Amino acid sequence: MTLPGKVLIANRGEVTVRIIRTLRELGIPSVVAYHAMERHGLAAREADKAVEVFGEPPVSAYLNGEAMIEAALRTGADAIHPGFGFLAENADFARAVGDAGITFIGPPPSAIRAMGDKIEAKRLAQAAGVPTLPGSKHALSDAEEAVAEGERIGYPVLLKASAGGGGKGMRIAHDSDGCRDAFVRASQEAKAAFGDGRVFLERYIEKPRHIEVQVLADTHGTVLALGERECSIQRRYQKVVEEAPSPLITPEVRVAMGDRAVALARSVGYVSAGTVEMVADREANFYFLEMNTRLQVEHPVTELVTGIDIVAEQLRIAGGEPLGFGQDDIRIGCHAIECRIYAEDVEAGFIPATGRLNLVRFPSGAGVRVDHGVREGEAVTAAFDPMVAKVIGYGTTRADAIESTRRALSETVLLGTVTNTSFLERVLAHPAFAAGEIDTAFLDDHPEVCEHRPATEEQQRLLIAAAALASPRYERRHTLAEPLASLGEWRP
Amino acid sequence: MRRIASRIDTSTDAYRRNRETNLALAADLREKIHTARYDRPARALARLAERNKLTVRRRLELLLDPGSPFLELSPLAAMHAYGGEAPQALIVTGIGVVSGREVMITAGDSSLKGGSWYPLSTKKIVRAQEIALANHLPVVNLVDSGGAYLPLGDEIYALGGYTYRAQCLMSGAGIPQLALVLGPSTAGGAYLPTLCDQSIMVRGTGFVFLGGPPLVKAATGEDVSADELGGADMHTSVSGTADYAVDDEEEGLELCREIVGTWTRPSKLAIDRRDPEPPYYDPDELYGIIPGDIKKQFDMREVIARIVDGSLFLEFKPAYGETMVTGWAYLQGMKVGILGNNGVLFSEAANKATQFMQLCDRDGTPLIFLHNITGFMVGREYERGGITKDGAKMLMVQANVTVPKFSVYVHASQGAGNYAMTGPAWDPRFLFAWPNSRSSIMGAEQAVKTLSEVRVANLRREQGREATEAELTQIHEDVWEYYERTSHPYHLTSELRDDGLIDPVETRNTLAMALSASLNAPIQRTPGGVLRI
Amino acid sequence: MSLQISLDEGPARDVALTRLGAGPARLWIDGREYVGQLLPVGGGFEIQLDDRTERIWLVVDRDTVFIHAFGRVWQAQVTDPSERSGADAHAADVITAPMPGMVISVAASVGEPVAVGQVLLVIESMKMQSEIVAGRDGVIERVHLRVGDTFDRGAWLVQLQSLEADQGAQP
Repeated sequence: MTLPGKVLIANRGEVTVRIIRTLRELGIPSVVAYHAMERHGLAAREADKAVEVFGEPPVSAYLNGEAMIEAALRTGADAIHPGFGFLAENADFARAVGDAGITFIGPPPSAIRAMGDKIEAKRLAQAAGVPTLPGSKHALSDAEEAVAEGERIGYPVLLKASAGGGGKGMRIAHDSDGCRDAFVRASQEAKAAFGDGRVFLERYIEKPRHIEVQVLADTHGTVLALGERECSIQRRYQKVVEEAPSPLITPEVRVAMGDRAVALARSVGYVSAGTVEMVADREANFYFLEMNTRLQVEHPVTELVTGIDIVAEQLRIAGGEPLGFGQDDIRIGCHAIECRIYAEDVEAGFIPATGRLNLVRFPSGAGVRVDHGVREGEAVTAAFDPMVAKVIGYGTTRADAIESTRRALSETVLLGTVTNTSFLERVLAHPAFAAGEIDTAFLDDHPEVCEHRPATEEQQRLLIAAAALASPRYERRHTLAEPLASLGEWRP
Repeated sequence: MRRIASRIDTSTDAYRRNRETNLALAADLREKIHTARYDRPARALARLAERNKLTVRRRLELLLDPGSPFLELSPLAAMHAYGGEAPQALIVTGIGVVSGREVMITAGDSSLKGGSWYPLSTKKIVRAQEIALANHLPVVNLVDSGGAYLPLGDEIYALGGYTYRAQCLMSGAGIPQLALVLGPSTAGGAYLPTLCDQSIMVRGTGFVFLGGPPLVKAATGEDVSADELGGADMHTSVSGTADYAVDDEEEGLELCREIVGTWTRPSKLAIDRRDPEPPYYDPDELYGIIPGDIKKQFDMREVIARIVDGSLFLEFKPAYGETMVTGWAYLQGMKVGILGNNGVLFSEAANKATQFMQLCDRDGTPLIFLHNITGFMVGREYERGGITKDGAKMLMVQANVTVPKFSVYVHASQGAGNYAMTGPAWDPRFLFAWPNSRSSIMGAEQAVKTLSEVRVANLRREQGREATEAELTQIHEDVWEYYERTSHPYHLTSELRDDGLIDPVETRNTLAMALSASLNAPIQRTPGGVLRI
Repeated sequence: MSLQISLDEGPARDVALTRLGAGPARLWIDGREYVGQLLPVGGGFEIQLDDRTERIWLVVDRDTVFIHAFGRVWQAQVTDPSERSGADAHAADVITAPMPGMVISVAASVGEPVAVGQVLLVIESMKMQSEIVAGRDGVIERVHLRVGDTFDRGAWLVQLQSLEADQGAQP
């Protein structure tokens, strides 16, 4: 049993750079498949070898499984790491990789497929003893069935696309009329987004918390839970601030959640890193939401609190090695908070922004980790996801972690586009956040964090003066030489 | 260089009296300048506003770089002429900073008499052009004049032609010129913008034509509007006589700034420089130093100490020819050679000045002449000592130095002494006068004495009788009045015999501006050694 | 130099600047004078304004100045009010032919409102096709030629309603 000899990363940006780092530590050569737009990007530059993949629009290049396999074969890579997004949860791709004699760094295709179908996943979770929310047992056939199920379970209910994710095809209904309407819209959206209009519903928890459990499973039957992550701060159904551990979860609940997550993973023959996502109410009652069969964006917080390099473990597992530690070895040693830096206009409603990153400075120092995939001078375009970096702060206590993260955010300089950095800082500075009073409605309940604090008149003057002094519009050659400078506005 | 040791006692009655007198003179000067600039009948200002025209002062504000200095030249021109109906000769000239470049500005003032050119207006423009030529200053003309003041056409005609020739010469010398046409430019006036490198016209108010609509109608019977005949759009799109059309004066002035901003900056004359430093002694004390009586002497070193950086001065030949103070100093960081009078010019003093001027000329150091001179010493002994010969040497060398020369009438400036000290005819780059100063061919008192003696001798020779007391009184009064009037700084500045009267405390800044402007022109030194004469 | 600067799409403020040698500059923000200097410090800058000093990061991208200061990013937009939107309100009512040629196509009809820069005609001359565009916003008064017509230099092609007619007579 050996580690892979050479790994192709079928991804881009920040996660690719993250994986390269671990590959380098383990002495494994890396290959990056890139689209021409990112020829000069950090990922292609950091990789030992970079090969171009093609596609228009550019994202399609990273969704082209055949091309990725071909690139791996051509470069002699014996394993493919899919990162997250793109091909990471594509069972057909995982299978095709294996068929080509290449190791897929991730779970077996069967596990991906089982968890990819929300209804099937929920059934498996129930079977494994994970609490689930009451809901329809199968896809709803029509609006009337939706109404009937809604009445049976009790409102409010959440209608979800079976193939869904990222908030698409999701609708909340508070009564029968709303439910009828929600069914139509959700199924239309699901059909449009996933090509699969199947929709089911379940009880909706008002202001839930989003808590997930990281699992690691090797090929020798060991499945471990690496603690939970709290991911309740979300905008547009997407996480922006994640932390570990959750301020809500007691050690007892942590053990219970971990046990259930491990049982589910074991029941589907899970291998590699995966995440069981749950929703929790205020009393820390938790319910199965879905399982993500891949590395998660927010995995660094777990790495920081457990001291385990999840990507390294994925590589060892892919090489057939058994996990070198047991459940009892896993300790939550500190607190970590991750902030996702997006190029987006928060005030305008989190609209993605573009622009050239003319100046990039990331924070460093004690208690700070930054995962990013950008280079100064690079453009943020509409072609890809607008996430630029993840700024993670950690410390002994949650308060320490908040402080480190706030410092890190204030030292994160990204000039040339609009970013959400100051919004994130305002979230972390909010008393409710400090008190751990967070749920997925945080931004609705505290809309002030979405608004810029206006500059004071004095600050405005400084900023305007700096702009004037720096702008080439104020021609630099128009300089008053001596003795005229000393004379000033002398006009007797 | 060492600090001048001032010996002024500010507690004396003489100091206080001088101070009162000179402060009153300075206040009167400021008031006269303010009146000349701003005192306009309300209807004149209303008429400008009606036509969307700005006052000449507002135009200057918009044209100049904010926070930059402006040295206005001859602000009191024509103050005693034309019954006072043409203050400032209806044209503002001066050196200012536009888009970081020093430029000569001429700006017509049409608030009165349609901005007509009087004889002194022409003289003022010609002087501005001379200064621009001598100092290689680009010119921005804000053209707003109804043309020559025809009742005095004869006095304008010949010199008026020179203004256009000067434009051609400037162009030949590589001096950029720009015109913003803010009013009618008719007949000869049409050449002013047209001879500029570039010109801008304001729609609706700026016109350029050889003959206006009434003249065309009279000459050919053709009926044509001013716009069709010489409006901004016609000239910028059809005839090509002008280059840019703008909607209003503000836009035109902004465009002026933009165009000036594209002009190649001259490389300034390399003179010795250091960081500027204010004088150690307070320039305000000048008011108490300068005597109220034109005949009274004072030590010119006290003036130098209140003009130059740190009051630092290296005096050349301090023990020789002591009625002439010569030496080096820095003025706003620029090294200068200073010649100041401390009494009548004797041979030694003249020779010392001559030697010093040669030193500065070889060294590329500009010369500043501080006048308090009644003339060269007369008498048998001095003639035998060759005073005329020594004066001639001083004139010869002074006239031929290649470094810029600047004159300030600090007190008296009379007779051939004025010539030797670079009077108006001796091509000073700039000449300024203090309000207490007097300048004439000789002092009023000497003139009265001389003319009385001539009259008495004539009566004796022709009528064989002595002059009566009444006759003597009449001569005395007539001559006295004439000399008093014509040697007065207000008369001289009205007639443009200088580049402006200045408050003594402004001397330092005025000279700094003038010096800075003069460094735009290259100098071509003629080889030759310095004679110890 | 006097321009306008707006911060984060806020109100435009008049800002004039005069640089003084290698030292500080004088600034006027809405007419009030300040003395300021921008000094490079360790890859970033230090802005000094009167007696206030602040460490900032700053980058200029065309007319936008991005500034990282006070813990967040600000965007300052520098505009020159003398720059028009490209429309010249005084463009002539009549659009004349820049050279002799033939009309290839007509894209404007009488009474139609047109915007500055809008193509009105395509003409061909010396084997070259060129577009005739509106010099200002306006309404088409008359199209003088039809497709296939030939014309000489200076011929009237299209006439816009005069501005006086558009806006009512001006005094």
